[in-house]
Amino acid sequence: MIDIVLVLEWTKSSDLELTMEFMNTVYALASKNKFVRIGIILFGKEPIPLLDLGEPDVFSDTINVIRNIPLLQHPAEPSLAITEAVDMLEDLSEPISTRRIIFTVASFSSRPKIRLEDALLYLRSVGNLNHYLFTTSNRRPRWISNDVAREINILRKGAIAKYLRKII
Amino acid sequence: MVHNIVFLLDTSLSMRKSHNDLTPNKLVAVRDAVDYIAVKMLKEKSKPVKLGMAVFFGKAYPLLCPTRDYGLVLDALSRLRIMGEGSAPGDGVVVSVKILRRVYGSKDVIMITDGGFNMGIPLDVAAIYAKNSSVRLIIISIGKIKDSDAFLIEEAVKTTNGVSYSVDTKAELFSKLKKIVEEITG
Repeated sequence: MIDIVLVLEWTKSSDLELTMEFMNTVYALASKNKFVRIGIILFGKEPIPLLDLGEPDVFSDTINVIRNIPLLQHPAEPSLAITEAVDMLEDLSEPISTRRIIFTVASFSSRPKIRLEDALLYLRSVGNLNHYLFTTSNRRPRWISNDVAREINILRKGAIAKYLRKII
Repeated sequence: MVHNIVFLLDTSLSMRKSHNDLTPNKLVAVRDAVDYIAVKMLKEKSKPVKLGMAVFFGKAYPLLCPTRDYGLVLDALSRLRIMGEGSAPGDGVVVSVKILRRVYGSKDVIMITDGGFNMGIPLDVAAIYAKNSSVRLIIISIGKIKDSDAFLIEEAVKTTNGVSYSVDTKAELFSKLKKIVEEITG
């Protein structure tokens, strides 16, 4: 079993088309595997859980709904959304028999109040989790430590499947 | 039995000030005291203790799931900083209980605060959630706090069968923390 939580920035700073492409690509890959469950958390200043871990079909319906959701308040706080994703995985998935993945897609365009590094420390202490960071911006953020910045993948239109195939 | 302790630390603006010999500010003094306990519990003694951490100001968030890894505790302590205005201790309690609901053993939250509660879920209401999750609240307040905050603290510890202390000096903070943790771990 693979449990995936998508943590997606939904503000005026994020590239929504790229974010939608990311979701559609995850769906395309996940729908081929009946052992994949997906959850979604959107975030701006606050995280909003949209979909608890479930089958890819439910995820597909939700993608269509997301298009109509108004932009969330700026500036984005990815750390709060990531800890919300941990809650979802901890509550709804079985760490022993499940591969647990969090994909965070964000612009990282402004320095959040709560440091990203704090959320990453929390992830490390929870354990049994793989976390991947993606940015919809053209460059990695400068406000973040080099170690974390190196972990951030820059999303390119049309190249998302290449990234995700290695992981899912 | 494993004893799980989450330190819930106030990182609001007022913690930037010093109080008596709690210098250079209250937050640094609290950090030193928690480090002292972590060294005692995780390195010097082989007690079955796991330490976690969460912080609150106008918001609250987790820093560490209960762990026996002193390196992780040290890493979390090194990240403590003044976060900003507002004080939402009830939100901090809820975050701490969420961390603890997935672990086995005894569950205690030690909150260290200087009061000024003005945001989020009321502390006495959050205490009901803690009690229902078998989490005990122990609250250390620093210096003189408002009567309304003191009332909430008393209600919260009463609800969870916990205890509260007031400290004014570094020695008091260290000794109270040591006493609390020794009582928890037997």
